[in-house]
Amino acid sequence: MTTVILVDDHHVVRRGIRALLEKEAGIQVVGEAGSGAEAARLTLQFKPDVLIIDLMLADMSGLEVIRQVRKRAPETSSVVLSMYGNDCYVVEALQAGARAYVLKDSPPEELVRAVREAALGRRYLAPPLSDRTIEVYLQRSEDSQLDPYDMLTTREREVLHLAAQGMTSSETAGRLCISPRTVEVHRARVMQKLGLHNRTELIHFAIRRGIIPEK
Amino acid sequence: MEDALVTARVLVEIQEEERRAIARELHDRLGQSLAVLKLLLGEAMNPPLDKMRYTLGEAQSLVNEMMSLARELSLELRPKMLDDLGLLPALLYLFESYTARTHVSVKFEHYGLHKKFPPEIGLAAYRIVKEALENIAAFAGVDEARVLAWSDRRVLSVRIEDRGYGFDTGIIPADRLCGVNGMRGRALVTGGTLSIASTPGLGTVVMAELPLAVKPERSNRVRP
Ligand SMILES: Nc1ncnc2c1ncn2[C@@H]1O[C@H](COP(=O)(O)OP(=O)(O)OP(=O)(O)O)[C@@H](O)[C@H]1O
Ligand SMILES: [Mg+2]
Repeated sequence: MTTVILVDDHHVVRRGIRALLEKEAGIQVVGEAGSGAEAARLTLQFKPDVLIIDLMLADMSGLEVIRQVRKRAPETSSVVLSMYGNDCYVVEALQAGARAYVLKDSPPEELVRAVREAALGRRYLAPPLSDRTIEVYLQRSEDSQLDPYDMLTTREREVLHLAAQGMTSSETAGRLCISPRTVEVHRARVMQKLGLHNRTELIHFAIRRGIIPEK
Repeated sequence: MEDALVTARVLVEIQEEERRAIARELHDRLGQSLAVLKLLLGEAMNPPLDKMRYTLGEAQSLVNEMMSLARELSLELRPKMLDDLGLLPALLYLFESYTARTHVSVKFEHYGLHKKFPPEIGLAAYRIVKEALENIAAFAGVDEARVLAWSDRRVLSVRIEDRGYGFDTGIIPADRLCGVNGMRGRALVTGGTLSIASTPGLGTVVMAELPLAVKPERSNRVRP
């Protein structure tokens, strides 16, 4: 017999899910909770095989409950039942320790399947979720190698170009119709963003980037 | 100027709060009721009376459609992931739904976004990127946009570029209530800056720099 605790802050939702699960042989709903705090308490007390939980609860994030349960009742498998199937939530839930993820608009048999799989300690993502889309999401969220030149504002680029051509601050100021003081500020920021320390390095950078021609 | 900024900040907050409230209603009330309706329909289908099978099937697919509509509207108004998980997930979601809707693809590069930003800064960055992308889809005439976002300890920067038609930035009156001035206002109320450089025929670059460390002289000011 697979024991289940059900958590959702809407009691109509709980009633619907309970009705669905009670028709299934071998699954027994042993408790219901409407809040995260209550969910954590019941789960730690009864240690059910499966905890079905919505991520968005009023008092406390469902994610937090999943983390606690993984730590303090590792024999319980968490199944997320959520309105949201965005990869970011799925990734976050799996990282918190959830075993399965089902959408509220998935066909009801998906939830039953997820409960059975999770009870066996297996991972289950209900379609259209898949390990592949999760993989793509993780790749997209990895840091990229940014080109420092992209970090300059248009004004900073102008100041860089004029400085590379050998213009002084006051000449640059005259050309751009701003004060020499402002030019100094822009130039300092350019140097900092590009990781340059002096004029020679600035010239080298400009040549490398094709901003000024090589002599 | 300072007072105008305070007023602008209050207005931004009010608008955001309203959006958040509507988004929540859409998700909590409408979305959850639909979820129940769906369960009930599933119940009625099992076993279905033959003459009801077709009608119930239709009702089920209608409910599915309404559920995804409620979810999309809710996220469009106020992306929950921004509050729940932060700027990066919210941007990734934005690009996905934007490309699906406009067929403009987004080339995204980022660095240093795996951290919690102050909520108003993350929100400003999100709204600026979104508006700049909307403009690209509407006016630039391209099928690709480029977005860069990066942060160090002091600043969160975003840069949104297209190689489209471009426009004359001088023609937008400073007091007009429109997207461009809205983006500028978003940046200004956080104490940051926003610049738009556009060359007809070459494209447009919107860049915002939003401070992460509050300037002491401003935060110490006590409002009456
Ligand atoms: N990336 C772009 N490429 C070409 N033209 C642009 C671009 N962004 C803005 N524009 C021009 O600038 C104008 C002003 O843009 P803005 O976002 O302020 O207003 P809008 O998009 O017309 O209305 P809304 O208030 O709904 O944003 C646009 O009407 C368009 O002509
Ligand atoms: Mg616009």
